[in-house]
Parts: sequence; structure tokens; C-alpha cells
Amino acid sequence: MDKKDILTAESVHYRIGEVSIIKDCSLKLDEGLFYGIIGPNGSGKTTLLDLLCDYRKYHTGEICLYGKPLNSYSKRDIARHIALVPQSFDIPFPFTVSDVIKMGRHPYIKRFSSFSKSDKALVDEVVGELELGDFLDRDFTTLSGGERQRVIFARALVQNTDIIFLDEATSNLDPFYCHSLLITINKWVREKKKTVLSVFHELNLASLYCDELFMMKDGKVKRAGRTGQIMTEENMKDIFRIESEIIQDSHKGKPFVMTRGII
Amino acid sequence: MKKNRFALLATGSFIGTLILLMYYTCTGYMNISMRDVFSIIVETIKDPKAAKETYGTLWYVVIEVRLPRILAAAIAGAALSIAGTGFQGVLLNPLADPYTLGISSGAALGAAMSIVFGWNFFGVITVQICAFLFALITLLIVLRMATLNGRVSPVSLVLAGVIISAFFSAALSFMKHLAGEEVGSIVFWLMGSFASKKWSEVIILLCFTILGFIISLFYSKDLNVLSLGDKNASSLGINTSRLRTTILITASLLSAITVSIAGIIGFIGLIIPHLVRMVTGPDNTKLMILSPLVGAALLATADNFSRAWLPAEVPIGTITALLGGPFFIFIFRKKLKGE
Repeated sequence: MDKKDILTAESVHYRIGEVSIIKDCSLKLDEGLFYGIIGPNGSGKTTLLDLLCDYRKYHTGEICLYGKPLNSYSKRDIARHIALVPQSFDIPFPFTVSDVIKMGRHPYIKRFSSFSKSDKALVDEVVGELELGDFLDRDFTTLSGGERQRVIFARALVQNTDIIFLDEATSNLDPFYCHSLLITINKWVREKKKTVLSVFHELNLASLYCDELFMMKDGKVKRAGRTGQIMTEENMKDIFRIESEIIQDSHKGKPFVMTRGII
Repeated sequence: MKKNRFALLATGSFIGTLILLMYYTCTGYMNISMRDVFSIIVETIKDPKAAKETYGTLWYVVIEVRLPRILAAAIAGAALSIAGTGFQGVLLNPLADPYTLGISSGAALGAAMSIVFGWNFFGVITVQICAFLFALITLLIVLRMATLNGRVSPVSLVLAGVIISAFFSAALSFMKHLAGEEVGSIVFWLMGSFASKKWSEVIILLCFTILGFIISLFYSKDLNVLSLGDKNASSLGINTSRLRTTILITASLLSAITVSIAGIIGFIGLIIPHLVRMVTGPDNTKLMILSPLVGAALLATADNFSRAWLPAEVPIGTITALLGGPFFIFIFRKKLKGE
């Protein structure tokens, strides 16, 4: 196996009851790239992320992290390699923003010991980068959807893992914060050699930030490759059932999907 | 809340609770001075026989009647508070307490059946053991009902608990109907009582409460992370199903032992974590330390109210229900408004 393969999935199957959600799904992640998963509703995007980070257990096939099967790792070890930013969520108790962000260090802190200086430094760095300084003492439950999303994003960055999963992590954000978070994460991919795998609903957002894309349909990865090569009118038709025109963005040369109709 | 301030608060609560319990030992049909109570306790620890001879009736009242009852109430209060904190943390539901899971009614049904049918499998402690076994069976049924694809969802857990609870309440009514002349003892027991508790019961209660406290404290930080939801907790390295099962079994054990010794005492497990959360914030480590102290003080006070201050003894479960009912409505409304 290539040393660069940090996370691989081979013919993974997963079903709920009798219904197969993920069928014969394979993919491979290299270090230091920004990957996107796109696909129609119900194509299994979120479930695939769940399987890859051991939140759900796959039935057959194999998922390997650094060449070793995922289920040979402890939960805690996985949490030191993979962080997850889920879709927005609610918490029932009034924890402060600072409490929630600090929970990102949970996989590293021994029971009954407290925050070290390096833990604190990392938290401060992330808080500064995401401009959350003014929020720290706020009650998390009183925040708006977008503010929560930024906090939970900070929580995942504080986890300081090599791999970060985003599950429509920017869906509640206004354009400024949406791009500001994606720019931040993109910077981490380039400068700190992080690997990001992100589920996108918005095709052009995926196209703008992702180096490579996986297109999913019916629980399978149907297309995989460089963003510029697989963002094609034909694939839009096959995967999303839309008529489109792909325009080359003059600024960064990224493909831009203009939807012309449905099939 | 800062660490030092919390340590001060916890120590203060501990000493305050002890003083309160000492004071309650003085009160009752027979007033005994604080100095006498203190020296009786100290002498008894040094040499029980000599103390018994020296103090006579006073010794009997303090050591054999009042102390076991007051300590049982205090420890039961602590146990129910730990259980309530655990249930609320695991179910992610500020309204949860031993009843939401049907654990208390399961335990009560077990006890009622053993009384009505006159079971005697385990000698004098048959009632207690039946209550405990039924609580565990209830937990297994509820967990089984709520488990889908190897995972336990909080919502289905509450739903399963409510269904089981309704079913057991109906079965309990049927038991009362069957009981005939025995109905008095069942009804009184169902309403909860600390009257004529023995030292052996206090010791059993204490051992299980300490065990439950240690386990709950051990997992308290994990419970904090669990409040971010299953997916977040899992991605932070927590085996959520195992954490949930451990805390549920621990909390059920605490509830069952309490029910088996003192009957059904409602709302303590609900109120105490709420009151404490208002002061300390939602950190489960602080809750697990402070809740049992406050719970001990509150339940001992409620029981003393019934024992020493009211003209006739009222079942302790009735007192906690009268206090807890309005409080429950208050929290419920607050939660509704919050959503």
C-alpha cells in the first residue's frame, strides 16, 4: 500500500434492516488534499462519512486508516486522527461556548487531569482564527444556527487531527462566514497537510474548494477524480438529473455549474 | 464557576449537611440536647456497650431509632440525586429522572407482587430483592425496546420508559385490588417511608451509593461530551452506547436500592440536579459531587418535617410529590418556552 493513502474504503456495504444504504463503496484519500462528496438526496453521503469515522459499523468490505483496519483502533485513537463537523445540532444544557470548544481536546486529556498549557494555546489559536473571542462566555444554547456552526467547527479544529470530515458544515452560514470557514480549512490543508473530506449540497462551493470530488448515487461512489475533470455536463445529467452548462470561472479557472433545467 | 470556589462550596455543603443531620437527631417527640447527641455518638464509636449502659433510653432513641432513619433518608437523597443526574446526562433530557425510564415503577411492582403473593424466596429481604430484580428487568426491556441497529437513541429510550411505566402502573393498581387486607402496607410502602429503618439497611444503601457515586464521577467528563449529541461524542472518542449503558445501569441500581429500602420517593432525582445546575452550571463533575450533598440535606429535611414537626406522620413520597409537582411544572414550562 502506498504510504500516502491515509484512509481507504474497499467495497464497503452497510444496511439498515433489510435496506442497503451503502453498496460496494470504495474510495481512497491522499494526504494534504481537499476532497468533496456530492450527490443527490439519499445517495448515502452522510452515512458514508459515519462509516469512515466509525460512528456506524460497516457490514462487509474494509475501511483502513493508515493501512490498518478501522476496527483495530480504539475510539479514542480514531478521535485523534479524524475530526467530524456534523450538520447543526442542539444541546440540552447551557454549556458556554468556551466549554464546548474545549471539549475538542477530550481525546487527549486523561481522566481527572486538566487542561495543559499547549491545550490552551491551541484553543486560543483556533478561537482567534475563527474570530470567536467575543463569544467565549456566551451560553451555547442561545446562539443562532450559524454561530453554533462556527463554534462546532472550532471544536473540531481544536481536535487537531490529520483528517477532518465536514458534513454540510457550512449549510447554516451566510456567504461571508461560509467562505471564511472554507478558506480557513483550505489554509490548514495547504499549510498543515491536513486532509479534508466534505459533503456539499452546493455544487459550486464544492467546485471552488475541492481538489478532488466523489460523486455518489444510490449508495455508491459513481465518479471520482480531479474536480476540473469530472465536473462535466454529462455527469451532472447522470448523477443529478439536471441539464447544465459548465462555465470556466475566469478568476480561478474552476468549473462553474449553471443549471439550465431538469430531466 | 472557578475550581477553588467550587471546592469551598462543596466542603461547605458537606459540613452544613452534617450539622443539619446532627440537629435533626436532637429533634422529635423527645428533645435531646446537641451536646448529648454528640457525646452519645462519640462514646458509642469508642465502646458501644458502655455507652448503652450510661445513657439508657437516650442511647436507644439516638442510636437505634433516629440515626438510622435520618441517615437512610440522607443517603437515599444522595442516591436519588446521583441517579437523576446520571439519567439526565444520558438521556440528554433535563426532565428525566428514575421515573422516565420506568425503573421506579418496575421496582415497586416487584416489591408489591412479593407482598401480595406472600413470596418468601429470600427470607426477610425478599421484598428488596424482588424490587431490585424487577428494576433490572425493566431496564433490560426498556433498553431492548429502544435499541435499533446496535445503537440506543435518547428519544426512543424515553418513549420506551413511558410505555413501560404506564403498563406497570396498571399492574400496580391490579395488585392493590388483589391485596385486600394487605392494601395498607402496599399503599404506605408505595408512598415511601423511612420509619423504623435498621442499621443493616443503612449500610446496604451506603455501600451501593458509594459505588454508584464513584462510577458516575469516573464518567462525568464523558457525560459532558455526550451532551453534544451522539455523533459529536463518538467523533471525540467516546463509545456512546457503552457509556450510556454503564450510567443507566448505575443509576437504575441506585434507584432500585432506594425503592427497595424506602419505597417510591419521587422528584428528588429531578429537582436536585436542576437546583445544583443553577449554581454550578452544567458540568457533570460538579453536579455529581454537589447533587448528592444537597439531595441528602433536602430529603433528610423533608423526612424530619414528617417525623418531628408534623402532628401526624405523612409518607415522605407524598411530601416530595407536593414539593416536586409544582417544581416539575415550572421546569416543564421553562423548557417549553425555551423551544
